[in-house]
Amino acid sequence: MRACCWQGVEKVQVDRVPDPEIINPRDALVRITSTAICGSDLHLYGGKVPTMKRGDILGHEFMGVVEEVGKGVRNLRKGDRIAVPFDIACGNCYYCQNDLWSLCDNSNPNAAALEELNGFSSSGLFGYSHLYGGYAGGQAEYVRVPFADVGGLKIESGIEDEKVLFLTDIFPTGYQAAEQCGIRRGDVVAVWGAGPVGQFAVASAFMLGASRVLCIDRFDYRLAKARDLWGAEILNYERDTDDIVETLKQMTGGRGPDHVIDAVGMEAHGTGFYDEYERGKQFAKIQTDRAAVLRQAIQACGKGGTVSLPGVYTGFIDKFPMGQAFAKGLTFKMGQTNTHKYMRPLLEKIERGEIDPSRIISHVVKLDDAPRMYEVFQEKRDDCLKVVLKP
Amino acid sequence: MTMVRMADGAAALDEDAATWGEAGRRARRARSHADPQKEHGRHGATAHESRGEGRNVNAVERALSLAAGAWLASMALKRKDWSALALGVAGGALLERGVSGHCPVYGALGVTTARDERPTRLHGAAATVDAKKAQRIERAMTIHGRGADELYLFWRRLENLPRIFQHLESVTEHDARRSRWVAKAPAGRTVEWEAEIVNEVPGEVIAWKSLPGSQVPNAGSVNFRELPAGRGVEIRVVLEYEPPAGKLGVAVARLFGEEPAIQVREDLRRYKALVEAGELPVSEIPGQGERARVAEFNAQVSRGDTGADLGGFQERAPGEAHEPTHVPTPADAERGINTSEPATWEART
Ligand SMILES: NC(=O)c1ccc[n+]([C@@H]2O[C@H](COP(=O)([O-])OP(=O)(O)OC[C@H]3O[C@@H](n4cnc5c(N)ncnc54)[C@H](O)[C@@H]3O)[C@@H](O)[C@H]2O)c1
Ligand SMILES: [Zn+2]
Ligand SMILES: [Zn+2]
Repeated sequence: MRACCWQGVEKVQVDRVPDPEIINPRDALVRITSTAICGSDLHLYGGKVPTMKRGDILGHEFMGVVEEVGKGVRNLRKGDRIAVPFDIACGNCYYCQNDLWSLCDNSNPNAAALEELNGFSSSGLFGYSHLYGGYAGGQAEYVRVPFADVGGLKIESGIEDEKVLFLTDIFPTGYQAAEQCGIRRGDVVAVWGAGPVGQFAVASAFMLGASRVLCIDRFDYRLAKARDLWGAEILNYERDTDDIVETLKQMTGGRGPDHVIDAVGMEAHGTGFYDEYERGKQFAKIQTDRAAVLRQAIQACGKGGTVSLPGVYTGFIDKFPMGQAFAKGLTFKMGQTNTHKYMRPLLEKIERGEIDPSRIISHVVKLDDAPRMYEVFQEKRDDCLKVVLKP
Repeated sequence: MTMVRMADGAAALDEDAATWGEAGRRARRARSHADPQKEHGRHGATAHESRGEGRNVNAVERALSLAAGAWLASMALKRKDWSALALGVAGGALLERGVSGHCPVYGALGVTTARDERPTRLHGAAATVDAKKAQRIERAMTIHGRGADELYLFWRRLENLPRIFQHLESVTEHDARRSRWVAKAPAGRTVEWEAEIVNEVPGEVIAWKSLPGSQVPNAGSVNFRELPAGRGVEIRVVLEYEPPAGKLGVAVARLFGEEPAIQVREDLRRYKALVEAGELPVSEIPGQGERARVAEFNAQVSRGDTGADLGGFQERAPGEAHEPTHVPTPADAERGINTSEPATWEART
């Protein structure tokens, strides 16, 4: 089959690789009909996630048609159309049973290595480095789906792929980011990043009762989407302000946003001397993550608020304004999305027509165009917001 | 006997000594291994057999013992009532422990907190494992969705242990106490020994040790603790062995690999995955060197008997009820998953 493979820093390639096959009883083999490039893939692309190997198949947002199931899978059969969560989870361990799917104890074959790094292991992920299990990803013609009996969500209506594809990651990710803020009616929420995750965080914050959502980025075309699609108030941090924290405070009657969402993560773009300093440290491996957004978010967050981090961090940061966080009594919520928890309820919202996730798609191209689209998506060229690939 | 009583007193009084900070935390951890009431005579057979003389108390704890001992002793001097005597005795025990670096309780129970120093256990004439040479492996894990009794039954059938520990080839039970163990050695060879169960409390603990004359003297135990509110079962495994000298020693070292503790840890991790998820997680990218070999190995293990073997759970004595243990969640119901069905490992036979 053909698959989009990681070949090194900023190098991906569509290669011919052997077809996957069923290995375990709870596996399903899926012929992929649609797949996408995620902001998280850009961390791999940029070489920021360790233990990628040449030839690893990328991709963790995908859906398709079941070709074959293992003998332990009784709720799916050949021909079923399914969307597959990006985290792989067994369904039986303590964490799965408590809806903390991304913390599954039993789905990461390289749990020992991740435990070495983080003290504990977490779930396996599709196409996301060997630390997370070394599973082949879904930017391919076929994929093997472990624990398909608890992961695979059947899509029974004739609804098109584009509307449900993002149930596999970014819609639940944005939703979880907003949900874990514990938004109450009237709350003001600020979202850093108008990328796909930021877009769904904005939309979800409104769904959950926010009265205003402020969205911060430097790309006008992305900010415009956040405004036009969901009704966000937008802030271009390069043009509209030179002190984002103060500006947010002034926009909220001196209170600061009730909750803040960092939908950017460890590769936050910064400006000026401080950014050079951080890049230098990241390069020298003194600090692994660039934390400009996280620091701003903590500083801007109103008293008693929640700092919610869908944006990914993998290592260490310094100059963490702990004293401010403490003084304001902030709550921190973070982690990989427990995608399984949200898929069905969000599917229902889509089917009821309450939201149309396909509206963030900017490009639908052939799988073979993946290498070019990684570049375009990374550089935010061509008004690129979300790329869907068709194998 | 006096010694043991004093020692128990010292362990109990650690509680007070332990309330102060970091050193206290260490002492608490040590004590949680050595709860005198619960664990006495449980882990090994040898509480009465011998008393260690080596060092099993680490430096921080020694300092703490010294300080606490001195404090208790001084309290005893100040007090005028009968409790002074008790304090004095306990203080004396802590002082002894601080000075000698040896705690009689730890020695007797086979527990050491002196991590970087030599493990101390079971020495003296009746010992199974020579403490000066012993290698000790300890690992705790939590299993969700099964009761302690059920897990205990699986382990109590020692013949099941090779399904967990990859370096074991077989265990044959002669009777309720005695068994013959065969472990894999390099070049297709094996090492064998006879062992006996020295302690068992159904649903709680199994301890065994090799009989005198074994090529590789060894002892082991597994404790089960059912957690409240359906939080699962904590399992703690302790293995000790004394690598023989000479050629055989080299073979045994290789048998356990460079890092026996890691091997045991990974064995237990696989066991947990098989019990909870019904299969081992396996990744694949076909056709890539080392990667392919690992995948192939995992695939064999997974396709082959290991998983089905854990259907060993099904081999429980007739009449013993199998409580459905997969607790259905609302999310399950929402996703249309039928959780009342047995979990997948039972479907593999
Ligand atoms: N927690 C999860 O499970 C999960 C799932 C999916 C994605 N993510 C993470 O979410 C993050 C965003 O993903 P995405 O797909 O939207 O990526 P993206 O790269 O398309 O979007 C990131 C956006 O952040 C903006 N940005 C960069 N620096 C900024 C700054 N200093 N201030 C404000 N905005 C800034 C960029 O301009 C860009 O528009 C990534 O870190 C990704 O890994 C996490
Ligand atoms: Zn993603
Ligand atoms: Zn799990």
